[in-house]
Amino acid sequence: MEDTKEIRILGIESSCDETAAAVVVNGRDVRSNIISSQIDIHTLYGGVVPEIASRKHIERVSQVVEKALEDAQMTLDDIDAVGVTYGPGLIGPLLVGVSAAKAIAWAKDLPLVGVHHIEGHISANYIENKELEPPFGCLIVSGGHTHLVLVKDYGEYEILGKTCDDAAGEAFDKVARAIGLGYPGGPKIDKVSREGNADAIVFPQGKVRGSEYDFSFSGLKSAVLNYLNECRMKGEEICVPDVAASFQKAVVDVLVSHAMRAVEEFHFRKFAIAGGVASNSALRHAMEQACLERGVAFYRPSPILCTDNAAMIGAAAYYDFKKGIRSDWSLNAIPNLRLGER
Amino acid sequence: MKILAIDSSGMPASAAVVEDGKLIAAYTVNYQKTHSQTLLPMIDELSRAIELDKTTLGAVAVSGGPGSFTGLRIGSATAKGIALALKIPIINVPTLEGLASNFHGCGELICPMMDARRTEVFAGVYTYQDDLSSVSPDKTSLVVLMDQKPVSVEKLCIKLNEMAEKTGKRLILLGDGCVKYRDILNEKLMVPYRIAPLNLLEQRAASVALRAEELLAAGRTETAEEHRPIYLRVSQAERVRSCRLAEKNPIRIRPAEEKDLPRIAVMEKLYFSLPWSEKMLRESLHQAQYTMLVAEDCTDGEIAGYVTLLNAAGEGNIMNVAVSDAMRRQGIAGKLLTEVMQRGREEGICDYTLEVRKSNKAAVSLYEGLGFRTEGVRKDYYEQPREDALIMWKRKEN
Repeated sequence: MEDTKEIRILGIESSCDETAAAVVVNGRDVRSNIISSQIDIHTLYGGVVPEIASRKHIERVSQVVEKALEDAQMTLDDIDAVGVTYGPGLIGPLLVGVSAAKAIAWAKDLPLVGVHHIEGHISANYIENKELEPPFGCLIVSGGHTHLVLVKDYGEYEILGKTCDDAAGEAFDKVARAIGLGYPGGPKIDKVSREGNADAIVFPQGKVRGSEYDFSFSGLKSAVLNYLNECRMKGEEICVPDVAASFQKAVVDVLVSHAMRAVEEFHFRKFAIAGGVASNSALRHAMEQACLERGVAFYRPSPILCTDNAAMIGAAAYYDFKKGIRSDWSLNAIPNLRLGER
Repeated sequence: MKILAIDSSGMPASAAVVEDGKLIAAYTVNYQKTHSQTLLPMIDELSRAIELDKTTLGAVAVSGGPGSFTGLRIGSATAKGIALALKIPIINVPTLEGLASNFHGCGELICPMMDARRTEVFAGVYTYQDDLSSVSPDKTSLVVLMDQKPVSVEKLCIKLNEMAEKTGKRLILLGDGCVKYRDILNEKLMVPYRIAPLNLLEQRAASVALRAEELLAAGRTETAEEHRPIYLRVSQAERVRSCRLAEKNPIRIRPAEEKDLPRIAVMEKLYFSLPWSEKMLRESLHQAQYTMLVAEDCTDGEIAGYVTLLNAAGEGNIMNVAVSDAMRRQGIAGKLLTEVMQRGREEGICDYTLEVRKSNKAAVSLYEGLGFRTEGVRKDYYEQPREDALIMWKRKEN
């Protein structure tokens, strides 16, 4: 008998508009990572429509799971546990993944581990950085979340700050729509910003008075809308690349300054970013630079692991599994699940 | 064969296990708690009670819709998970056929109806053939008089009045719709009716299992990959969008592709009493003498309808033409037929023929509008219900 048995986890993720499944061994070794994106459909509606997303998830969930097993060259008999995102996210989409995961685990008598979506994003960093271990600081920025977190240990988190209103990615989407770039806003603003002057317009940073680690992006979004409106009233031409670059700079500046304040206060030696907006080239660059200046090791996942995916869920589930965390058959989807709560 | 049946389409959560005509276990809870929390614990508890060896399950049956969109997806996702894990087929039981099975064998008019909001119900009308011994084992005894669809309560009453008067049968109502709309039914129904007693009023997995056994015998199974809920309604966002785009004509006619086949197979099952299987469709797609076209809704990429033309030694046989419920009355069938005959002409086909249910007035008038004329009748050609087919031709000289 081997005493260093591999733990193979089937991860399933369906919290928003990505149907995903993956097989991850020992939390860090990704054997397959299948993502079926619905972005084309939601682009028609200018954002994610929950009912349509739910319908697409149910159409694709079994194919995605079967493909993940096939790519990993495994069957369910080789799997040790099933991990699934149960929140936060959109209730309809979450329920598809949770229901399917429970049924698979039940049918094969496998343990079930419910995973927090943000914990998944944080854990995406473990996959490509085998040496990364807690404690470290982490900034999670996506279409639905903006969290500055102290990762004390596997599965143990302290939230230092979060957004009071819009998530950073949400602000990207709204501003992109206002300047006619369309959905999804993040990648489009990132691209067009490269041709713009980031110092052309001074937009307010998304700070919150009295809470040094929290964010607020709705004011910034309004400032952009006001600026556009003023230009139109005056008949001035709007330079889309300049607006995009200046807006992006305002977002990146506040994210980096809060993160670095935390680095200094908590003496982090390691800092990671995660979530869909962590693919943003300006954010990656600025964060890397700031960490370098302070002698802090900087980590960020590849873009494919920044987007919603199930490999990160498999990674997070592994550490929960090792701690003995198990979900029972009554596991429900919790749309507003808080990090660190079960 | 052991079948696990589940129903989470409405308020009740229900699970049952049957084996070769015997009900081994059934568990129904009709209480306000989310199905995502209750359904799998119920399945687990029931399995323990009968010491179920999961590997002996031969199929999983699910009440596939219509119903609460979320409830349907919980049931479907659960069925898919079990089916893919155990490598067994899914039997997709239309919810209202499952409900009708509460009165299995009854020769009266059975009308289950589920509240669909906006004073509409999802309803169907069913009866059973009187002489069960005359039913061959591969055919089901359920007769679909009106296939399940969303309908206003008032229109349903008119239909039921007609059907009851024409057949002389008594009317049995069930489902949560007949409780919610009791007053309207009382006012508008001119024929005697009975509302089902509490033990037969709502969804129960044992009835789903009963119907599933029949569908299984008729070979009507699907894989986890093929299975999807029968919503019978598009989402709100899609409805709004399609209204906005209506004048821009979002329907595109194009040749069918491999990826369209699962959806076409589902529509075959929904709309025809003798559906073509996905395998048959695939074979036709790859044979030169068949032309298969689909109408794609460009707003969401869904297949709105399809048509298949067989070039039988120079004569064009229109094998099947269907448009999904949600997309009817937009001229899609006419566009499909016009296009397929245009393509047929390029192959040198001059004359076209098709068969249609005698009672399908809408279809007959569509075909007449396209130049088809009735040239004969095929007695008792259709089943469920048994009916004559009109043989229609469109000839070059017409």
